[in-house]
Amino acid sequence: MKALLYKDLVSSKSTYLLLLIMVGVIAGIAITQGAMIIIPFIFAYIPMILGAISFGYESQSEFPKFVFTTPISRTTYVKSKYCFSVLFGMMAFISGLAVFGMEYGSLDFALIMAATSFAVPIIFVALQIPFVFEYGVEKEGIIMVATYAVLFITIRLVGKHLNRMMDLVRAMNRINSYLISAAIVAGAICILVVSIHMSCVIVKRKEY
Amino acid sequence: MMHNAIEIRNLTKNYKGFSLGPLDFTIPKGCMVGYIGENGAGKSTTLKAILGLIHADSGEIKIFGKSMNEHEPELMNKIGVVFDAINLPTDMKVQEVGTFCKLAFTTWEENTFGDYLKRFSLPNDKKVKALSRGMKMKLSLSIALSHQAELLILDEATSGLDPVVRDEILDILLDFLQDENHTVLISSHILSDLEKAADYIAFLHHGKLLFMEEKDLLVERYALCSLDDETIGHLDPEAIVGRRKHAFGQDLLVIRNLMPKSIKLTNASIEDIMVYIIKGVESESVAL
Repeated sequence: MKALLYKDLVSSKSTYLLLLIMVGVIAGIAITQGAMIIIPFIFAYIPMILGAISFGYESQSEFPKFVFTTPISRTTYVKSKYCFSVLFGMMAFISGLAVFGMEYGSLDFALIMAATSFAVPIIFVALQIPFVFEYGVEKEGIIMVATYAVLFITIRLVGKHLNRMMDLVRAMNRINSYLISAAIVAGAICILVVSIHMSCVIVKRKEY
Repeated sequence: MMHNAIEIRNLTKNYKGFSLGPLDFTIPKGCMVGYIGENGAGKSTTLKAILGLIHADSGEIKIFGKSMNEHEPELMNKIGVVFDAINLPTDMKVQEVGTFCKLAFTTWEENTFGDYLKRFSLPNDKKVKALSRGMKMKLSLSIALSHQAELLILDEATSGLDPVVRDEILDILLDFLQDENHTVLISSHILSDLEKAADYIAFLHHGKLLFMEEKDLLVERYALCSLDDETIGHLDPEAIVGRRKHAFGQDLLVIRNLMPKSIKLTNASIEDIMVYIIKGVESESVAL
């Protein structure tokens, strides 16, 4: 696993640096424009972009043909593809908690939004990765466009109906917000586990 | 103690328009086997099946007596692989490739890798994409030889390399074979290389193994001669393995023992044997 993560980091250093700069710029604009809500959602984009970069480089060099002649198993290879999404999911959770907490002053609401911010990248990557393993990096564009569209619509809807959502959360005050957040996180993790399992089945079946 | 590096039993793999096998062969430890055959004969398919990169339709493959399916990660430490391309992200530097391998192989020997880099004059800070084909192959070989591999599998690794680099690689393979537990399986189109180094030749044609024999016996068994049509008419048809017609008669690949002593024979190279046998098989005039 460490070997694969190391490979991902060193093989596309310049792309990651560029991505970091872009994220910094977007985050800066978001803060100055008073649209901090964007920040947690930036973390939803990053794992998808990182996944696309990693798959692209690997496809170019037929890397799996090399990696499967090392002691790295196909299961480990698959799991490595999900690492960044979990990491960025956690970053989205923390930033979501901070941003929504500061903006709306409600811990209940912030917790639910943070859980949602955690779930979004996980779910999108969980859809993207098995698709790429099954249909190849050439068709990755289809799933990327589809997930970007869904993500964009989600952000727009959240932004538009934020107050209504807050009312809904207040109305649900009788239900513990911790429970709702835990359910969202647990749901995302379940989808992640199913996706990893599907990807393992696909990769074990594939020939290189 | 296990004496075979590779055992293949009833291996088959079917694609649309091509079938490999059933293949049965055993590669004893301590030897170099040249795996030859025309393009599309199934050499790479066999090697990929051995490495578990493709799934056989049937049959069994054992490496050092163990099934690949059950012991894959453990066995991969013992197998060094060199393909015709390096298959590493091209933006990685040579030094980073070493670090990657250190993390990937549990038996990685950093000093050995460093020694090979020096021996091959491979610069640590150069990116894979900046290396020439020869350097890429040398890097690939350095990796294969730096994790205590006991079996080396090379698939067309010397193709496209100049004779000096090929010779250097062959020398390293012969060095590797100094240890009696080390084995090399090499597929190549450059049969002169195999002629220099291989102990056995396995010959694949249209997915079927025509023979696997000791190279020296093979060279002893077959011979070449050039005869007119009338003399050929008096020969034992069993003696003729393959023929090439020309204006003055025919060039023949023959079985030396079945030829009259009076006919002058010349030694056949592995390339001659391969070409004549393929032509013989294709004209259905040969019974091996």
